[in-house]
Amino acid sequence: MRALLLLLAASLASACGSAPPSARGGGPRASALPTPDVLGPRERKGQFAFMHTCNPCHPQAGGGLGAPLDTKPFPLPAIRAKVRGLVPGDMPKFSEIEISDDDVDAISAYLKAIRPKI
Amino acid sequence: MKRVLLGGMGSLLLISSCSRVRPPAGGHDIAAPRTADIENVRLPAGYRIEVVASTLTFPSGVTFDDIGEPFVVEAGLSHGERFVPPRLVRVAPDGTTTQVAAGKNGPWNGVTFARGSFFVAEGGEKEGGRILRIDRDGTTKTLIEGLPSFGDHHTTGPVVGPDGFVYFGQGTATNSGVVEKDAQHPEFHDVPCRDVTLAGVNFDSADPGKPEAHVTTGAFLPFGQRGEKGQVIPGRVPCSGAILKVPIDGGAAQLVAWGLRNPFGLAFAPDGRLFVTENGPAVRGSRPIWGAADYLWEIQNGSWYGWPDFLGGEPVNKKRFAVPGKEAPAFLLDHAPGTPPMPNAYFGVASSSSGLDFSRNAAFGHQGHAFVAQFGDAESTTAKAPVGFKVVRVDPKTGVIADFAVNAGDKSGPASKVGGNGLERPVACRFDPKGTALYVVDYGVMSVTDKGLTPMESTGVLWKITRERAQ
Repeated sequence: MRALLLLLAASLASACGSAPPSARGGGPRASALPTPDVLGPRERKGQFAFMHTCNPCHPQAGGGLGAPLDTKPFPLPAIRAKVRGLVPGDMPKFSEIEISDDDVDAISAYLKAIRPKI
Repeated sequence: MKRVLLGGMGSLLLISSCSRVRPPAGGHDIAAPRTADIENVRLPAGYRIEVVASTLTFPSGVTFDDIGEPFVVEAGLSHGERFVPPRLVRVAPDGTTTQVAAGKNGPWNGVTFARGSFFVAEGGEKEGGRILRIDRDGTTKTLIEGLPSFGDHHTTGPVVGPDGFVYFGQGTATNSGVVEKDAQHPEFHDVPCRDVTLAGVNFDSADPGKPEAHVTTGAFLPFGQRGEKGQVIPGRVPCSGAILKVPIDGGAAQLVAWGLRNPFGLAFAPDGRLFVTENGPAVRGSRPIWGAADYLWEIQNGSWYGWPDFLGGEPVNKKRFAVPGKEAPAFLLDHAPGTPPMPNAYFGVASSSSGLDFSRNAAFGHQGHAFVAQFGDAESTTAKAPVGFKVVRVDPKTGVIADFAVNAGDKSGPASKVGGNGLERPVACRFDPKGTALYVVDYGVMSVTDKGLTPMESTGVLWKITRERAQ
């Protein structure tokens, strides 16, 4: 179990790395914002839970007080462990009353749906 | 896309997609040149952005007169305690500005137009907050004065409601209820709108006047004055941390809602409901609070929204509001004066979610959704990435937030920091009277370093976003 947690911690920590610097001078030329994915009921439930619980620290799933969540895959077990406070770090833990297991699973589905497809 | 070049003569030359910011003819010296480039701003497909005006100094709001001409207020006081005269200016189609009125008691935090006049929220750093009515010829009448604005937050808004009253926000004197040792007016403290009873929680701090001495300060009291358990702090109006309203011809303030730390943006939705953005507490002072978001609230008449003991509807004594390694903040009040509701939406911590407006025209799209300007961090934070510096769209029914105007590239932050010449610090959004164009007020360059805040004059921009199919 301890080994698993350390693995999860390492996985989450690696997702916190800074993005490469953008071009200077004239600046990057903008492309249109991506059209929001059409979400199924499961992902939409996750989106709702995310916006009401996670968005303050991970605004629009990007980085903020917390790490960006839209750049790398986060396995469901890693998300569950982080939410429940089983992984070391600054992120506060959330009880099952605050976020149900079903909502955590739905959040995972939502994050998977919005992650850029490479 | 076409480029818009605002030249020194103020002529509008559609020759390229870059707007080089230069001082207008006869304008004041530019502190730092800023180039605004529409190619560096990302929008959803089908929308376009252009520069309407530039070289503005600390702009904070935009409104439109009865023929649809835009007018901008320049705050006149920026973070970092930089004072210049606050102004109301008309923005001509060529981007040049003409002064309508100026003041000396900034910051002017927003403007609206109704019944042939402009209404300005005068923050009142020097003389207290006011709501001003300014006629086209610059004649200014004070609708209400003596608003409690000598502290951390000022008088904000305003908007005119369906009932004909001028609604405005009044921020709190403090970050989280306690006057700090570095307060400019140590005697000035928060005033509740209704009676509150203290829990008797006090905070020790150094006495600035006596280096070796310590003083104790309680909530809703002057610096150095202790509060006792059970002590009742009498409520009165006008008060701190509230939405208030005043008759459009002037008169006494009336309470709309309270328990809001810094209610900066006010807007009525198309169905007549009032919405407000609130900036949550920061990690500073004797009662630092960790991880407090900014919020979008629907305002219910007479309700208490929780400050200083509830944030976003949650009790502040939860562990998640504790600075890592420290205890969670204690309640300052013996009992809550109400049951705070839950927010409609939760914005990023330190996003400084500010001015907003609602889409009301299908030609623009997203009818009933709020468009919110996010000023971005104004203090050194522990965030892993800059937050804000963009415009977001919010569905108030679901709380779902989506980016609407952001800087290009793979890094968030103001253009002056991340590169490119896009958005710096959006501070207000307002649709034109037809509802087909969203104007975004960009405060301009304000750098944040360990040495403090450095705002730069003449770097503010008024952007305009339209839907291409609506043209």
